[in-house]
Amino acid sequence: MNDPIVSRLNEVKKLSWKIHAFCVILNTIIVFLAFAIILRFFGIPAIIAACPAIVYLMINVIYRIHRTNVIKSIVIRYPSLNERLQTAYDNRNARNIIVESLIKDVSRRMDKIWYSSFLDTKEVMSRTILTVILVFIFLSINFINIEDLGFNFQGLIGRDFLDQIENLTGFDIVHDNGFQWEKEEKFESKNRVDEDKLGGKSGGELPGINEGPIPGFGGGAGEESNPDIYGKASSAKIAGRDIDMEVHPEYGGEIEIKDVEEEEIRGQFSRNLKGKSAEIPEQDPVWARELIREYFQSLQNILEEEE
Amino acid sequence: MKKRTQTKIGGSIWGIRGTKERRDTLKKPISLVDISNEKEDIKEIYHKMKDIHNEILYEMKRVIAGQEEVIEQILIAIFTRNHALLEGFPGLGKTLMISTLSGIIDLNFKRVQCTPDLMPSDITGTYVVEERDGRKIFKFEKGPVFTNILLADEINRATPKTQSALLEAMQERQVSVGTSTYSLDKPFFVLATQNPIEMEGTYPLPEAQIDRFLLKILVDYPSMAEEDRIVDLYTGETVPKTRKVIGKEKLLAIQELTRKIPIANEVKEYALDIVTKTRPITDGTAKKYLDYGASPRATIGLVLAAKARALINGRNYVSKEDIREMAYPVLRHRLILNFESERKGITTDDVIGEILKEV
Repeated sequence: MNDPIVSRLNEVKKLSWKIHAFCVILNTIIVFLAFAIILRFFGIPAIIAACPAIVYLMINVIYRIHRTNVIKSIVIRYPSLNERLQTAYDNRNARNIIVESLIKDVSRRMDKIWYSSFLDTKEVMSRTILTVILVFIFLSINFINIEDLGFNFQGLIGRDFLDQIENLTGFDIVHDNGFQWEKEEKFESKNRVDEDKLGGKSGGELPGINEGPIPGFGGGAGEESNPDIYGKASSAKIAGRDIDMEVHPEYGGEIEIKDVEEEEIRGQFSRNLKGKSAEIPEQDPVWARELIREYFQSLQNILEEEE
Repeated sequence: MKKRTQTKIGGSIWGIRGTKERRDTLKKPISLVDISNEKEDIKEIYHKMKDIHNEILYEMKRVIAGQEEVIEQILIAIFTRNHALLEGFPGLGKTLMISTLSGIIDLNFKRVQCTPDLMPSDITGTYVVEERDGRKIFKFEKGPVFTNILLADEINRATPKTQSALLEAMQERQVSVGTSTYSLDKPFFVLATQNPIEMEGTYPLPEAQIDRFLLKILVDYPSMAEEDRIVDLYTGETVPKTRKVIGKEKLLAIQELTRKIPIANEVKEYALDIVTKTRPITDGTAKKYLDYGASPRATIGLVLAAKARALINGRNYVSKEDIREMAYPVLRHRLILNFESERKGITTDDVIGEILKEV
């Protein structure tokens, strides 16, 4: 039977679900961000905040399935429908003139229900703003070294607890000395200072083996240096094969060998050119052994011919 | 006032568009329940119910000043095919009210003045010897109970034996005399009055009998303005007269219609809750003030009275307010106060008020 009351209630129910789903998703995001921020202060990976967020989401969905009363949600917003709607719904299968008039009356009143009345704009607005604020905080603390700002709550959590989280999740948690990425950054910058002093990769203040055209002004082979000072990469032919060779003096004699026909190969000239292939360390890539052997044999042959 | 521009049910919002199927469903004319078998007079009465009620009130007001609530409750008892007990001081117009109403509804009306020497046969009727064709035969002479409205004035003055003669008539709507049983006319109501101050020589109605009255209506003193009008009405040259508004057939249709008023499960549960709370089984108001609570007959009466109240107020559903309003007249004579309450001067209305606050 095409019951007008039931069809209208179903319509409202669908709409109510959509609005509720939107609000729950928004709340879930807020829960996730809030937990992620808190966990961030304790050095726990933010992804763990997904657990409470999922729990919240599931509780809401289950609650919604079991506790949804469309009629109540309508009568809260439209008190004039209060007992009318409930009565019409409970007596929808009755057959008499009074029930007919009641259903007509309720249907007419339900036509005046506004979708917007089911949406709490203030609540949605406040939650949206809160979400934006939390996102901003979350992003900020991921770019700012919070230890430098004096926030380090790791000491508040027992090491065992953090170890357990590590074991459970498989994520690395850095204890006491800050976070993993911060450690890596420090390591890099420390190296950079050494490099600077030696006129290393990044160039430096002191002229070293990589000094530039004007000594004492930070020349070198760093990223900031002029790569033209080394000229073009020279190529050589060994045993009829094109070998692309780049000389990098800053590496202290290291050369880069590229086989133009095959994949790039990096190697190092040994001072003992008479070295044997058997002396090549075992950990060298297997695929390169044959090539290296051929290379040294070729060199050996050339040297023998010259002698 | 801020004008709303959002979409109504059946429209769309934020791209939540109804499917074609759904829109078609909504466009269909409302498929209502099949009421083709409904009697035409019931349909007519339903559509005219409000007018009928207003006309009855208008006619009553020509004779009775004020007492709207009492009139409404008497009508409720009549519309639900039940009996009512009116309690009030002498001279408040109880008898006049009932006799006037019987004239407006065009019903047969008989009055019995109850006294301690009134016999049951004075109410039900008796066999008299009659001579026919030279032979003497017993013929049943119907008593005043064979009417539509029986006014049993000062019912608590009659002896329990006479009071019990009314029991069968009120409950079964029939009278048994000797070996014969006689059905009473339809509709049949007993509207009884009792005087609360003159307790000398009275026989309080037994619980079983008092339970058969749907309502106990308290008739109070009129207000100053109402009394002023009463004086004008009955001290002038002409005595106010009323006209008939509805007949027996229409009254029977109204009675049928009253039972058709739908009630929500929640409202029904509310009524059940109220009646259950009058029983001194669990801790609460009832245990504190009452010896006995209301019976399931009270629950039936409460729902029926609420339905009739909804109908005469032009509503097609029963509200909780109907239940609350009818709780007092339906329950007040069914609750038996304990000694402690009587000692403190607590009335059943006070207890009902407390219970209503709890529910």
